[in-house]
Amino acid sequence: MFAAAVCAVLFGAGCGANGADDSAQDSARDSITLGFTLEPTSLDISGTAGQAIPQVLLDNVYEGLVRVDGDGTIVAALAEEYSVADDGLTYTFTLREARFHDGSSLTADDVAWSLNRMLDDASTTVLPTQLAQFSKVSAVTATDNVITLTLDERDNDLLYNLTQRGGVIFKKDTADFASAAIGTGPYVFAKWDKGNSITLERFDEYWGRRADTQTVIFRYFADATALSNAMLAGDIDVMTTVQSPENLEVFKAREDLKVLSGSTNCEVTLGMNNSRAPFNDASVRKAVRQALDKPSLIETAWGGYGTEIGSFVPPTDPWFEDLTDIAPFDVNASRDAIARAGLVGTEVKLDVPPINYATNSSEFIAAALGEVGLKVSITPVTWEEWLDRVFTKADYHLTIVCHIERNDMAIYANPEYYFRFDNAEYRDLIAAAGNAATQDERVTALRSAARLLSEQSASDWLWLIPNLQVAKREIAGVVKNSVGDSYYVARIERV
Amino acid sequence: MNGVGRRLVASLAGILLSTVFVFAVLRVLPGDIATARLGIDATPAALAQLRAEYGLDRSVPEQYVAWLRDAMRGDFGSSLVDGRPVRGEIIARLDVTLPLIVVSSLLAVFVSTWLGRRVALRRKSMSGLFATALSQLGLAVPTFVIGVCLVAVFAVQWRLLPAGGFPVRGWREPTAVLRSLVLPIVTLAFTQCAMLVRFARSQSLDFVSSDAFRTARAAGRTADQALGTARRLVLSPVLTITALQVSALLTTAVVVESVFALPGLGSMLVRDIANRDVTKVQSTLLVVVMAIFVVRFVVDFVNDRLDPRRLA
Repeated sequence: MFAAAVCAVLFGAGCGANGADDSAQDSARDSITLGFTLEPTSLDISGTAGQAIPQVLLDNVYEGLVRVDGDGTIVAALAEEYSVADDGLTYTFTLREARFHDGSSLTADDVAWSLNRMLDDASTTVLPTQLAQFSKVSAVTATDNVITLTLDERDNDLLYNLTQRGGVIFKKDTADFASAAIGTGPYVFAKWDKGNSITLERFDEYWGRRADTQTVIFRYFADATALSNAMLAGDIDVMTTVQSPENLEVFKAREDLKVLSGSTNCEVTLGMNNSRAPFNDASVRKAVRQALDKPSLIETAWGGYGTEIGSFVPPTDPWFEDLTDIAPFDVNASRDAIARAGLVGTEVKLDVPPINYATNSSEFIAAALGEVGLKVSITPVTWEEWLDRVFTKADYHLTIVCHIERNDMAIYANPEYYFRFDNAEYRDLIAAAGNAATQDERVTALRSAARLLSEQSASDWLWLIPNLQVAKREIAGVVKNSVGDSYYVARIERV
Repeated sequence: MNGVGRRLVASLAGILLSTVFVFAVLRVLPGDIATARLGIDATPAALAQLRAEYGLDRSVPEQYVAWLRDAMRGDFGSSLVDGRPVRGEIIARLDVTLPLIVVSSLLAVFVSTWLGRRVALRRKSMSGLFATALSQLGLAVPTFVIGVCLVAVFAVQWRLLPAGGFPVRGWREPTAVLRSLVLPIVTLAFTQCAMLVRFARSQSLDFVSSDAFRTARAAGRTADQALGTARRLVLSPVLTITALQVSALLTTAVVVESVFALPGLGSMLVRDIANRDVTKVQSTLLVVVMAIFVVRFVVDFVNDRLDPRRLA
C-alpha cells in the first residue's frame, strides 16, 4: 500500500507537471543552457590548473587588455589601443573606461597590480606556466590610463599570452580568487551549484556591446552519455563537446538540431620515447609512422572526423605546411626498417590514459605495429599515473595524448619534456622564432622547425581533433573554432 | 553491559577504525592536492610551499589527530580546493542523495516483500514465472543500462521527464525536483528489488511449508490471507539485507548519479578523491560511515520489534 502511494505521488508529479522541457520555460526567461563535461574545481583562474576555469570565466567574466576572437585574430579589449616598439622591448596600452561588476571603476593601478603578479617568480598563487609566459617582461608601470610593459628580450608570444589566463585583469588587492570572480566582462558570475551548473547573468554596465542573452547556464555532466541524452531530450541548448563522433549520426538525423564543426589546436600525438630503445633510433620512429594508415585510423577512432597532419602544427597556424608526404603510409618500407634494425618481435608498451581518443586508437595502433614486427602491449593508466610515470619520469615506450595548447612547438625544444627529443638545430630554430623581428622571419623559422620535427619523426601526429558541437536549430552566435581557452558566450542567442 | 550498549560501543569502534583506514589509503595514492592544483608544470619549491600551507608537511598521525579533534567538535574543515566549508557542501549534496537512497530503498523493500509473497504462492503460474524472470533481469543487467534505457524511453522518446540534472534552485522548486528524481529512484529501486525479491520469496516459501500456515488455512483463511499473517517474518530479513547492502547502495548511487547528472554525495566524493581533497573526503566518509552504522542500528531495533523472538 505504501509502495503504491509513493509511486502514485512520484508519477503524479512527473506526469502532472508541465510537459514542456526545461529550456522551453527558459526561453520565456531569456536564458540559454550549455552542456559541458569538465567542471572547474575552483574559480581561481590564475592559480589553479585545468582548462575548465578559463572556459567559463575568460572573456565572459574576466577580461584582459586584449582578446583573441574565433578566427584567431587578436582584438582590443580593456585596452582601447596598443602599440609595440620596433625593437619589441616596449608595449604600450591605453586603457579604456570600464567598470568592475561591483560598480567600481577600472584603473591603471588594477592592471598594473594584476600583471605584476605574473612577474613574481616566487609566487605560489600563480601557475608556473603563466609565470614562465611573462619571464621576459621586466617591469609593468602605470601612469594615468597608460600601461607600459618593458621587456628584456623580444617575445613574439606575449600579445597572445595577454589574451589568455595570465593577462586577466583583477581588482587591485583581490585576495579570494577561488570562490569569487569580480571582473569587467559582459557577464557577471551569479551562482555556482557545485556538481551541477554555473550561472552567468548579463552585466548591463559593460563597456562594450551588451551580451545578447540575459542568462547563460554552464551545465556540467560527468558522463558523456548523460550529456548526449540531455541534448536529445531538449534539456540543453548546445552540446559544446562531442565525445563520441561516431554517434553524430543520431544528431544529424534530427530536424530540430544542427551539427557545428570547427577547428581546434589539439594534435593527437603518439609519443615515442626518444631517449629509450627502440625509439632512440629515428629510422625506427619513422617506421612506426609509416605503419599507420591515418585515414583508416581516423575512421576507426574518430568516426572519420579529423584532419591528417604531418607535424605538430594545425592548419590554422600561419606556418602550417602539408608535410604528410615525409613519412607516408607504407607497410613494406616500415617492415623493412624494423627488420634492418633487428627489432622483429620486440615488445613495447603503449600507455593509454583514460580518454576516448586514446582508447579508441590504441587497438588499431597495436594491430598495425604488430603487422610490421613490433609487439605492442596496451597498458591503461590513470591520469595521475600518466603524469607521474610518463610525463615526469619519461618511463614509457609509447603513449597517446592530445596537445591542446596553441603555439606549443616550444615543448620539443625542451629536452626534459616527456618526448625527450634532444635536437640543437630545433632549439635554435625555436629561439630564432622567438626573437624574430618580423612575422615573416617568424613564419620561416617555425616552418623549418616543423619540417625538422617531421623529418626526425620526433613523434607521430595521428590527427587534429575537430571542434564538434551540436545545437538546437534556433541557436545562433556559437563560436565554432576552439582557439584559446575561453568559451565565449556573449554573442549566443535564441533567434 | 546490555545488548544496546554493546552494540553502541562496537559501532563507535567500527567508525573509528574506518576513519583510520580511509586516512591511510588516501595518503598511499600517488599525487596530492598540490599537484592537482598547480598542474603539470609545478616546480618542487611551489609544491612544497603549498603543502606547508595545507598542513600536509606534518606527520600523518599528527594530521589524523588534528582532523579527528576538529571533527568531534563538528568542524569538518574546509575544502582544500576552493576553501568552502565541507559541512555546507555535504548538506547541499544530501538534498539530492538522501531522497534518492531513502525513497528507492523503501520502495524496493515494500515492493519486494509484497512481490515475494505473491510469487511464493504462484510459483508455477504465469505471473510467478514473469516475476522471477524480471528478478533475473534486474540482477543480470547493470544499473546504468537500466538507467539509460529509462532515459531513452521517458526522456528522449516521450519527453515526459528530464534526461537528468537537478533544478538549480533545488527544493525550492519541489515539482521540478520530483520530476528529476523519478527515473533515478526507479532505476535504483529496480536494482535493489531484483535482489531482495529472492529473499522475500524464499522466506515466504519457508512459511508456506510451516505448521502456522497450515493452521491458518485450516481455520478457513485463503492462502493469501494466511501468508499475510507472516508479513513481519518476511519483512525482517529483507530489512537486514538492505542494511548490510547500504554501502554497496552508495556505490550504485554513484553510477545512477552519473547517468542522470545528479549533483549527489557519491559523485562529489568521487571527484574529491580525484582532486586529492583529503580534508573533504575524510569528513564526507565519516558522515557516510556514521550513517551506515545508524541504519544498521535502526534496522536491528526495528527487527527486534518485528520479531520479538530475537530478544529471547
